[in-house]
Amino acid sequence: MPNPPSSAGIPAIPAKRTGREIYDSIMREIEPELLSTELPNLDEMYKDDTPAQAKERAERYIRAMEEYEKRYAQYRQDQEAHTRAFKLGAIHFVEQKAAGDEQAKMQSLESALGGSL
Amino acid sequence: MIFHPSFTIAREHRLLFEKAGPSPAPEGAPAPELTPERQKAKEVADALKEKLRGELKNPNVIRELIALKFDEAETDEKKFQETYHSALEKAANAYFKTLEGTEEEKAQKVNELFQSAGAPDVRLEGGALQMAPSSPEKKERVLTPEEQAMIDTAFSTHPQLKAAAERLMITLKPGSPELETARGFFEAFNGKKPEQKKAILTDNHAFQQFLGELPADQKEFVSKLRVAMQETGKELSDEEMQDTVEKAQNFLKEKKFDYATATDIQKNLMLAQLQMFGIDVSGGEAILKDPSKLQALNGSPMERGFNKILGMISYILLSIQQMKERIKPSEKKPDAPAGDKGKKGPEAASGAPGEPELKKQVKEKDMQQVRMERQNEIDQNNKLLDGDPSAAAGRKEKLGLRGREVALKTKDARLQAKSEQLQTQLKTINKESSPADYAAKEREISDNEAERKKIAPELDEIQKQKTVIEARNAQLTTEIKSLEDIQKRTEALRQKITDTQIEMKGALATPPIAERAEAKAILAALNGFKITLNPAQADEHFTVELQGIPDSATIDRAKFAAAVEAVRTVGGDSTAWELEGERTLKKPEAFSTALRQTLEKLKTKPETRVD
Repeated sequence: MPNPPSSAGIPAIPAKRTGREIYDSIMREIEPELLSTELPNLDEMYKDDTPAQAKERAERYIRAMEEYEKRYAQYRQDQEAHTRAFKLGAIHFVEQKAAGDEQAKMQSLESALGGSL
Repeated sequence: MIFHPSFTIAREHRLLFEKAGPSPAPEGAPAPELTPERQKAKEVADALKEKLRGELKNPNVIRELIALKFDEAETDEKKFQETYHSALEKAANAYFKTLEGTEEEKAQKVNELFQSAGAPDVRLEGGALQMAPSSPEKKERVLTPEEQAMIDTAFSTHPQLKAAAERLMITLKPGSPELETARGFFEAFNGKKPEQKKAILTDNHAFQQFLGELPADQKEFVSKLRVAMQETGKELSDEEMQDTVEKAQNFLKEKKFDYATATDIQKNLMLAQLQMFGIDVSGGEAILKDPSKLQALNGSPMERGFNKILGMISYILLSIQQMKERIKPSEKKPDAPAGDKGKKGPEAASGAPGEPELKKQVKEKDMQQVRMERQNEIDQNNKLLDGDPSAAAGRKEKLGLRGREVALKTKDARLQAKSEQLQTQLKTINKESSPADYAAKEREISDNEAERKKIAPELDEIQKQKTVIEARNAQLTTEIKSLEDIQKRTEALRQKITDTQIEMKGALATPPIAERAEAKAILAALNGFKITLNPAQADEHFTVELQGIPDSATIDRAKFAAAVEAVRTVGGDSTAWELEGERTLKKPEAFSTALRQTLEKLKTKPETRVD
């Protein structure tokens, strides 16, 4: 989840995910039947459901969706934290780079001055 | 969630450093405030969940609900990506400013640095760096003629649905089962008679009947199609976007806007006006330099509306700022291009919203003058009413109207009392036996009454004058109060404008210093916490205890995570941050030391370098 710095120290932008991928990554741990890939099979799987079973399944799905909503809210909060950290990381990187450039310039100036003295 | 001094990861059942997979929100966590958009989505989701209780047999309900969740996640992800992108862009620009050389050379250096890090390409546009999209959308393909014909045949009478179908189909990979499902759907639909197709598209009963005939995967495709249609409906069509751009370009021509001679404020005013047209002004001045680069802002109606409102607010504030500069030439440098000084202010501001308020401001000096004049008049009136104690005897009236009124009333009362006393005495005197005494008393009474009659008109006149002057004073006082109110309101407005300008400047420019401020705020919130690591703990491999934070401190976990991320990014012993397995830090002691050191490093770092 954290954005690892790239080789040059700039935090790398996390790969973009589709809404479906994000949904599935969260729902996978909650209710595998509600994964996007499983949806087309549900009708066949439960074609012989009694009304009572169907009702019980509906309640299960509702609970799963509510759990998903909770986890998604947390996921979003985490993502927001990561974006803030990313902003800081990016700016610190260029700060350090600028400071490094400046130091190198000073050293080069010093050595040039030292040579001429 | 509040961080208590003895907060532990074990108690929260949540890891600070997770590699993947979101964790559930902690029990009792306060529900975050929902934006109107999210609130609406929540209501739709709740309604669907309610519907699900009664309609499990209808698979579309759960599909619609899930499609809603896809949509939500997609929208949020887009925003996060934009934030990452914008952060890199700002960092690139900050670094750009520290470099020496020509703009192209500097851009080249930035580009090399960022590209070597795998960051997107940097372009120099109008003096500022911009990046190519960092994470391109998933590759979309071109429809085959067969697919295009299939869609045309199906939805020729329904352009919105046709557009949605095209949009959906180009995302399906050739040869994928999803594409096969889509083909199956079109075959089924196109196999219907034209009147049946029309009924399916217009009549819910016919639609439901048709849906019932479809296999499950095709039903899912229909759900996606419906979502895509909603999305398509929300965004601008190509024609609408082109129309917006043409209107804005014509406006630029009509205004005869000349980028070369325009001042900064004129440029910003023009950008604000273009934004009000619905133009995407994120490109900054580059679009003014080259109007062929104008692009309409695409997005949801809310985003587009917000963009226009932002434009309007900017326009008003800039107009006010411009007007202020015009009316206070001695206080502020006039906003005129070099060589153009002495000319009147920019025409763009004429007729600007907020100008009536400005006209009041123009008269502000007059108001002050009028207020003083009114106060002087009140002072003079008060001298008439109450007299002038400094007046030299015989030259000015020492006693004012009120004093004279009191004196005359006293005199009248005294005369009246005397007359009544004489009348009483007269009753005790025998006119026959003491005619002289009686006559003397009668004369005295008569003289008293004559004197009273003489006083009456003078008293009457004084009272009239006093009433007029007091009424005038009341009027003047009201006027002064109104002037004071206007001045206070003007001052408040001025303050508000300044505050808003500062706020907008921050929002629009977000200088790097703001990032530092954020870091400082986080660190200030965490200042003084002590980390205790307890690797021996049985159930969890380590515990982080935050000590020294007052109970009242409310530090949420996101902020803490951000601070940890910040210090991690800054450097230190990077191996200290590595996890062994899911829950164990490889080097807990090194972690503790690195965290403290980097926090200290951040706290003491100069914050002006990137400005």
